[in-house]
Amino acid sequence: MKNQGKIWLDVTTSNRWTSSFVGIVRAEAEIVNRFLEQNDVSICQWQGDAIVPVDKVTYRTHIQKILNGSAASVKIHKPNRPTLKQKLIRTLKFIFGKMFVGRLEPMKAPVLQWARSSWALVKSFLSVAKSLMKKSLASDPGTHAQKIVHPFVSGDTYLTMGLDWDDKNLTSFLKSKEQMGIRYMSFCYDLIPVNHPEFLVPGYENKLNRHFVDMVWYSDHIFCISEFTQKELVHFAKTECAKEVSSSVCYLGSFQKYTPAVSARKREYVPFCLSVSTIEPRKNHSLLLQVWDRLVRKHGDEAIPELIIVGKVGWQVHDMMTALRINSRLKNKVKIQENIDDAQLRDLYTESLFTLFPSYVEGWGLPIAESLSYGKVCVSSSTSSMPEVGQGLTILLSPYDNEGWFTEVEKLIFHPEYLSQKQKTVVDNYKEFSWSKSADNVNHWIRKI
Amino acid sequence: MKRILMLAPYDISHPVHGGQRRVRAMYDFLSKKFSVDFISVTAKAVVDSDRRFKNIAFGILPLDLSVLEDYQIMKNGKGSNAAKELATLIKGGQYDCIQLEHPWLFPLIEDIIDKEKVSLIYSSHNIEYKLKFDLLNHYDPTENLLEKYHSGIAKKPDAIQIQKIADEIALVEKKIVHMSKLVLVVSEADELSYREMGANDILLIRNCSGVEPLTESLPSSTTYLTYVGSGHAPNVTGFLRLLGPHLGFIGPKEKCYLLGQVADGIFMNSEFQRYSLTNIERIVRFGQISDDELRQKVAASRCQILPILEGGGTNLKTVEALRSGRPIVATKKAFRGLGEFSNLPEIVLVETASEFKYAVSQYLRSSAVPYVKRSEDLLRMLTWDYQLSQVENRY
Repeated sequence: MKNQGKIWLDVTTSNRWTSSFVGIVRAEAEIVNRFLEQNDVSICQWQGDAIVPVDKVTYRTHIQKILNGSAASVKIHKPNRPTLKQKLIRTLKFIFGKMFVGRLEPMKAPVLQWARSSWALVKSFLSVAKSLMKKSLASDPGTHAQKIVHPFVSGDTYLTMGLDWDDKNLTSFLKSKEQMGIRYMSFCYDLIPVNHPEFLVPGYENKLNRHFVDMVWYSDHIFCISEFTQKELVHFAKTECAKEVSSSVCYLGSFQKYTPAVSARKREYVPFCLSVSTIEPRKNHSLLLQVWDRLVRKHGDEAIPELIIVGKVGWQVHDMMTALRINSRLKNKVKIQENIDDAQLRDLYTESLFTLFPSYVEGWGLPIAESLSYGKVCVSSSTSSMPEVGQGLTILLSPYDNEGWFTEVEKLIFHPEYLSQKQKTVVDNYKEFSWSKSADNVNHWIRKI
Repeated sequence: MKRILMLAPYDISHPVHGGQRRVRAMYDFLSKKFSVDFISVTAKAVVDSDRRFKNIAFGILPLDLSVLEDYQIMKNGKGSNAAKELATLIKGGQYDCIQLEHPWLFPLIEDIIDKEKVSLIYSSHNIEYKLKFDLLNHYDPTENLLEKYHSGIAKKPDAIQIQKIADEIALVEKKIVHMSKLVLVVSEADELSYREMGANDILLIRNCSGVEPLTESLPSSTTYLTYVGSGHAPNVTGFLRLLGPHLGFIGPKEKCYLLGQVADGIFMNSEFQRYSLTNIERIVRFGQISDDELRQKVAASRCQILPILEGGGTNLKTVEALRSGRPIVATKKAFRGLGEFSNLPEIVLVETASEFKYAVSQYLRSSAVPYVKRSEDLLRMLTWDYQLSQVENRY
């Protein structure tokens, strides 16, 4: 069937975003941006329990501001003034920290564990009570779809590619999809919540499971951001939902291919290696810290480049951050930079010696593509989608092989000819992933199906 | 007229689970031929018991897992107040025979049997020591929210403790077998086990269905599968392991009807709740409903499921499903003791979760299978009248 109706792109995620774009938010903004000139394409967003049209010009202005760094930089460079609540917490922490330092620490973990499990139990009971109070449908249960106001008409296509499990009432809306006569297309970024729930933000499993199940049941077509993700999705659909899905691979774009940059250096140059990703257990930063610790111990502080980690400090890394803080060998050698804008990130890529990406599992692996686009050698994990992004130009190692990572990093640092030869291969052979190609791909499938 | 006392660890006024239904069917049958009294000994007093059935509350038991309540009664039974009360009721040669259901109450009557010279018939439902061993090994109390509520921090016995519990139960079962003049069993496999334990006289009484099914399928505007089950822990874990923990294989227009107390167990399971956003809208809970309503629901379903992974004996649910005329998706275990029925039409036997989901989805997504007529001669064997006709001359 050829599409006759309008194409509606959902911009809820990127239109609400105010700081620098990351992962999914960037993908939505970059792809939608390339559709805005097409006459039969409209954009929309969720507002409470309604989907409303969004003005294209206003949206373009909003995302350009962020892509150009102005919105982000305003946010980043403005010092965060603590709220009254934050001030109070800080004061209490200070007082109690002085009084009980060292004494309460051994109790902290069990008390926290107890509090967490008690809260989980209370939540479970509340949830059970809520579901038990729901009347059993003794006659015909049918499907009760909540009425969602929307601008679509029969024959239209609706595409979502943002954080669909948050701030959208998609399940209720899609229940009436057939009656409305619209087609629904979605993006699958990864199946990590299903296959690796241990890496998930606590409390998100329930929401994300429903998201994937709905995606499988309601999507007329699903764009997967890598072959690996597509394989995982097809497997999930088949084994967990007993369903076949229509899907294709749509690679995400990256920075433009490497061109020798005009140095934007504003500080005295200190050699460094770069690792870009949110700081969370899945990204396996602890491996890098161990490697750097060994390198410093073996060769001395002076001989080892800095390690700059760019990314927000996420969840379940408290112990690692504490270790980093108290390890005298690392605290001045490893630097964490949160909230930097695109321009600053480009500078860091340009000036870095090489990059590192030891993640356990990915749906894609954007920092690998970014590194290669800047002509930088990337040592990355050999698992999931990462070899696919690397185009055979990265150094692949198991994320469990600490010894291998140590040896490889040591070689790259102490054998400059080895690094230059690897770097030349990257510069000569890297084929860029562009957002225009991503958008063309989406356009092709929307009009084909 | 022979005077028989039936002794069970549960009341049979309102039979729900398979054991209760079997014992009630036996009581109804034997009452027509003999003078039969029924006494249940339960942890807590039964409040709405039929006047014909006496109940003794055992009283306070050690704080333990709910699946060990029967074992705790067995362990603490000898010399207990309940044992004394039973002795008063039994003394004076009032009964010719005691029919003991399950082994749990044996320590309460062991001395009385000797003293009163009353004969013992052991009515087995399965090999309890094996069942308890499997159940405890597979049971995860942390998944059960009610278990947490009852026992505070529910603690699963370790491997050595589980073996010890199983050995204790085996010892009691052996003792019972040696003292019994007749052992009633539910399957050929159980018969073999009791023979190995030294039983001489064994009679196979298969589990049967007491509910007459409709002999036609009914139309329905909803496409659904049915799962009929009691709140017995393996009914819950089997369902969640083979169809869950999330029910994403059930489409937006399809439903899973849970009939019986298994629904409460499933809803109280933390694994089920972990995916509550996906699960709750795919489930319709009916809880305890009348036999008539149950027949209607089953007759209009696309298929019935028997996700049984543990347990001994034979499944009463399987017998009822066989006679319902609806397609069945089941594990091989669900057909234990009923092997000769597993080749009948529209019965799909599977082993893994993905096979189970696929088989059910096929029935949900194709047009409804008309009433499945299965061999009447074979199915006649699965009626209580047929099965119990063998037993009346043995008391």
